Amino acid sequence: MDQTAAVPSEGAARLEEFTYDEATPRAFAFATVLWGVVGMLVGLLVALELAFPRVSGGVPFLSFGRLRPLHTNAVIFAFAANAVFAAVYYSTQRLCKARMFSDVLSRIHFWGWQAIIVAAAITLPLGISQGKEYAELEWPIDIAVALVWVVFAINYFGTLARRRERHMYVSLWFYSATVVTIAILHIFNNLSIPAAPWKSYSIYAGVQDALMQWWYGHNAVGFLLTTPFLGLMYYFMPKAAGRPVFSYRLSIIHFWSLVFIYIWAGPHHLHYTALPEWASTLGMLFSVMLWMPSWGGMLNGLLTLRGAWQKVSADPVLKFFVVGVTFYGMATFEGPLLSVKSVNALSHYTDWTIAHVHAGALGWVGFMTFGMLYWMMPRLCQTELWSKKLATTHFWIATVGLVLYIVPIYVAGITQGSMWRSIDDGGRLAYPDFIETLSAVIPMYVVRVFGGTLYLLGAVLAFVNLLATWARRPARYEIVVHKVAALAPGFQDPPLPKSRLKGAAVVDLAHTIDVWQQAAWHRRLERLPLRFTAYVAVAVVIASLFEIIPTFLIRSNVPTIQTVKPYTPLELAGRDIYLGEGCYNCHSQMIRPILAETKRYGEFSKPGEFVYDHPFQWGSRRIGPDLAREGGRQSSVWQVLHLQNPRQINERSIMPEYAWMLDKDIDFDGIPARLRAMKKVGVPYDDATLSAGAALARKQAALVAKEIVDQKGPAGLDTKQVVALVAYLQRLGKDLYAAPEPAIAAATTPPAAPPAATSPHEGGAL
Amino acid sequence: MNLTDVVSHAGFAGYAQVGFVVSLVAFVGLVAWVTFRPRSEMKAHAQMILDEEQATQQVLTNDRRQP
Repeated sequence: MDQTAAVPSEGAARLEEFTYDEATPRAFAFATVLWGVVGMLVGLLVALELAFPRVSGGVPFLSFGRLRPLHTNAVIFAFAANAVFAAVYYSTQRLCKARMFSDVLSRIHFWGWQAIIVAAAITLPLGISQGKEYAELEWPIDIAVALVWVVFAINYFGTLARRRERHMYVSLWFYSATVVTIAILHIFNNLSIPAAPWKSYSIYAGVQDALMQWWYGHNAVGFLLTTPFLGLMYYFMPKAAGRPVFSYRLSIIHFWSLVFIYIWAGPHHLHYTALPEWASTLGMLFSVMLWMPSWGGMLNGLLTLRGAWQKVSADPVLKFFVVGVTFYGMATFEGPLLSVKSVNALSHYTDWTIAHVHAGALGWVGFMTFGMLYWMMPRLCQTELWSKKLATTHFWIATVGLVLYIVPIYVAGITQGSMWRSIDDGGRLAYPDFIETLSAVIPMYVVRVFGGTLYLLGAVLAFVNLLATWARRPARYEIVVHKVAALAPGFQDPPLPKSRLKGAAVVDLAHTIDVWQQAAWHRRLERLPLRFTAYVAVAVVIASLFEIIPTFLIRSNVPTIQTVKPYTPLELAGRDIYLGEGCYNCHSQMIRPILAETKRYGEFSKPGEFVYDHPFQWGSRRIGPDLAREGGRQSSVWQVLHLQNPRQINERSIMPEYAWMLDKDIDFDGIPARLRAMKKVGVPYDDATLSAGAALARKQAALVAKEIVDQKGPAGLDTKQVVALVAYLQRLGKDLYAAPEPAIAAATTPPAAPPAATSPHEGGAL
Repeated sequence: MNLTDVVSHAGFAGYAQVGFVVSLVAFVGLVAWVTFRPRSEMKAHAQMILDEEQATQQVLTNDRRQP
């Protein structure tokens, strides 16, 4: 607990002695750079797999679909989050003039978070995944995340409550917003029903799950990779430059408008999908509005260096900060641009999004983190930085690496988007074979590998430099004891100012406005952390509900399609394999109502097609083709051979090999529990299916395996995972064309031109 | 009549536009209020971060080693 002791002083003021906890931010700082290297190394590996697909060697835990979530989770929740915690633990104590609320909670927070990271690093390569981007971790880990976050929140707000500085500085506003909002996002997006110790199903389905997921996904970027890093910027940049923040006014505008507007913008990830149009437009408009606060903040950061620009040439810390804030400006200009529907129609599902994300992640998050570490660690280790020259070298290597990463990927994205949409003079797709559009960007993927390698090399240099700095620490750290007067318990706000319009011929409202304008409302709020945080929470919750309630309650959002039926037990088992393997990392299941897209993939996707998809699998990237109408496109034996080794079907394919699926057995015994969990989230399985789930799955598996043999494929696959996955793939998109049951045939008419159905894959037939 | 009926018949054609305008007005109000704050007051608040260490009395000890 707080090592505080009241001591009498010479003057009237009663001083309290305390020390800062420096061990915790130091530990988080080392965890940041260590996990950063690991996360970037995995990123480099997945980049290599795209450029040179044979690298994974058909090893299950090295496949792209399993490692890409490991990369994203590692850099977001291990690298960036540890950096946030290091910044919060260092600066909050100093801004509050108080030690952290509890040393025990600090230790639980640190070790608990590292344990979560280790659990993620084990489970994701094993194919244990919820199948939701950036929220892949399964329910036991999700619960652990929530608990550790609560520990962090208690420790953080407890420190605010015991502060000796009356007013909260800007950084603390941003930290408070992060602590509250991330808790809300994490809990509500991850609500699920467990089906097994490491398997659960989201309570949301289809359109509603998509909205929740991108409400979460977008705001995780906003409140884990933006607001805390802005708090970091407002603290460490003035410190490093020795100058106050450029404009306190701008920081007030920046904070409140960012917090209020950001939360609305998630639906821009779902333009032209089955999401209702009103939600999509709402997301776009609020995304465009984000330009204002984002650029306000960017300018505030850069102009903090006014009069201190000469320091930038000599100080690697300021170099990192300047480039970091510049990339914040670039990324936050580009984000709203990409949210504009017409731009999004081109950019969505392409590498453009990947380039945008990495401009923000490597440029903004990465550079701000390294700048902070180079400034903070020598102070925490009570010594000089081991090598300023090495830090400067890191800066230049990382900058070149960053440019070499993003430029080719921007080119790849625009190339791919343009090729997908290209129509020839005859009205046909100019590049009908998807593989052509992929092969065109492989050279860019190779250049990206070089860029990523350089950036990783820079991170390794940082690790070495910071480790060497720590090694130079004194034999015994000096413990700095601070003496500060406690806050007087009964603080009185200054009286409200009088209207300056007294005697003027104006209505009473003018007096009120004049008084309101003069009053220091915000200053008052800055000394009331509980109320301040409550206002932030209200802004976030209200904005969220304005999107979520209509999405869940308007019936016309998801028109029912009578022919859409729940997956059969075997198809469900196959779908779980699809989720675990992370197929959504490369394949979308969402055909947008865009000419080139319907020509390539078929009828555009309808909201009612996804009502049993827990979770939805629309994806966000097409490294491979869309699979929304994959059912019946290829024979089952084609699917088996393609999964076994995609390059025996098409030598230019970069898909991983899944030959092991031909050997690994389906978990038939686990199917009943999964069906029951699906029933709990609202999928209408009848009692017969629930009681005979495993037997039904075996029966359909035998039929699919026989079909594969009949098509001159390998024999003996009756119990193998590949059969379940093929059953699922052969079902995709076919319900829309299924013959309606007689009772409902008169009421609904499915679209014409159904693809040919084969007996083992009749939706709901088993 | 339940909440679903109410929301389903509310009509959401102009929802995004209304939300946009309301938020824009709130934003302009915030900017207007902040713009008219006294310059000296704002400067003093910004200075807070650099005053942080000056306001603290420090005593150095050397009594234990930390990891």
